[in-house]
Amino acid sequence: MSWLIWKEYRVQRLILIFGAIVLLAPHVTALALTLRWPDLQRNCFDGSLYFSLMFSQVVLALLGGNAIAGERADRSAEFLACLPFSRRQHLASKLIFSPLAATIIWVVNLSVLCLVRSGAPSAQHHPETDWCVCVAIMGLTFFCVSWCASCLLESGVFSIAIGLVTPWVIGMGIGLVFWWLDLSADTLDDGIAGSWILGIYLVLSLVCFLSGTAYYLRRVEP
Amino acid sequence: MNAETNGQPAIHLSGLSKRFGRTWAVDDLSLEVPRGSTFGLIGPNGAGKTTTIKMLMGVLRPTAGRAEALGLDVLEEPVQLKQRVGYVPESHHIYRWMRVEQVIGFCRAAFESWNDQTCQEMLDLFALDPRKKVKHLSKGMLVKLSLLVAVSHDPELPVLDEPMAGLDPLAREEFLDGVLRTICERGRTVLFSTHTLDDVRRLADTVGILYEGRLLVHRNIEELLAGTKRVRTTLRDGAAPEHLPDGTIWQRVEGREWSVTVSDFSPEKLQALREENAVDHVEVIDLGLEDVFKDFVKGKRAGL
Repeated sequence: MSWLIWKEYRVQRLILIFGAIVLLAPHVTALALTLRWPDLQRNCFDGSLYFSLMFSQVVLALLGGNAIAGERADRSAEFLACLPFSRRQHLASKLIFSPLAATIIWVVNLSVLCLVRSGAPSAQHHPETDWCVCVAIMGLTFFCVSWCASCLLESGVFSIAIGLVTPWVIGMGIGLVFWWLDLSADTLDDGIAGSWILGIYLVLSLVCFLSGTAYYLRRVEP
Repeated sequence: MNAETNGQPAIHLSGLSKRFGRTWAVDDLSLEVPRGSTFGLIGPNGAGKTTTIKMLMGVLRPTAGRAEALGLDVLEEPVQLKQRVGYVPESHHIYRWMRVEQVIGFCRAAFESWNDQTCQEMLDLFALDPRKKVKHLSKGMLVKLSLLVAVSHDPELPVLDEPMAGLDPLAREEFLDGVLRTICERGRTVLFSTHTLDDVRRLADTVGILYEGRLLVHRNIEELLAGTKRVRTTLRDGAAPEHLPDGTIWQRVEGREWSVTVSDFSPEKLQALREENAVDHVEVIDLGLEDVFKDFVKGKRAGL
């Protein structure tokens, strides 16, 4: 199993390096700016958090989309299929890095958030909390949709593209439905609308992940 | 043969079929390869050899039918099967970024019965540099690495899909005489496909000719060669062939010369040919495996 994990690390290594860069670069830049202009600390780290979390969505889509289809595209999956590893072992090794990357991304960003907010006066409600929940669920959706596409397709690029585009298309679809039903912030409680939308994304993520995984486990071909 | 094997064939294909779009790549193929035999699968390009082998190895789902190897259903127990089978695919897609030693380590981790001594012998035989990256290997060296991976766990059933393609004559000779012959002599079952009929003649005891997804012949090579004869005759003036002998697989008429290749040849068939056709001179010719193969395929193309 350790060899499979090592292989998976090597296959995903470029994406992990890219992920580390886009995770840290905004914060390092913010730190540099803060050292030069201390008054801008809040703005700088707000910006770095925004960029870091936004880029993390792309990293999760890359990890999901490249996980299976990437090896099909370069046909190394055919070599792997000749070896006596079970599909469950493949699956386990492929699913190690995405949660790990997501955990690191969130630990770093939430630490930065806590650090920045530590000096601020406490408030009843932190709008950042809602925003973080929203970004976390969107990240999950990006990963799950691209994972599902990766299970079905033979092109890593298409899988990643589908993973990145689909959540936006669904978001626009929901927006259109709201517009068509004449639902707006005036007629609908903002919190309820947000919960419904996030609920839809959560269900979509779950369905995509489970269906993709089931297909991969049942599929005979590499 | 131990009690566990219980007389089961090493390979058992039953009504195996595979359709790609509207084309049947393999069509209702049934085949049994007994344990301890060396089976050579031959056929023209696109005959369905690779598709058959992929289905046998459980890396391609058949449209219909069932495949068993070493008593295991290839779709139900793929991991147990791959532990006991050594598969060399037609094209080699080993991770390009790995070094040879990493490929060996990776495969050693996968196979429970990995034999370091066999692996080392193969490394020496093929003069493979363990430090070299796969992407820097020539096509021939890649084939050698693929062969090394396939036989270093001492498989009970090596399945080799055109294994010698890309090997230089010296390495081919060494692999044939050194490695494959040793495997065959150990009583292992070997299935290999090839376009080089010379290899089949040297190694295989049984041959199968595949054409358009159908198995035309499945016989012991000696029996096939002993029983397949070409009869060359001279037709009398203005006469044409009237009755083809039973078991005719190919025929050609050129002027007055009529050649006919007959399977399961016997003096009775020759006698019948003489009596039922207006022929003068009759000559019976022994055929090599290449001629037999060509005649079977050409005859099938001609609708015989």
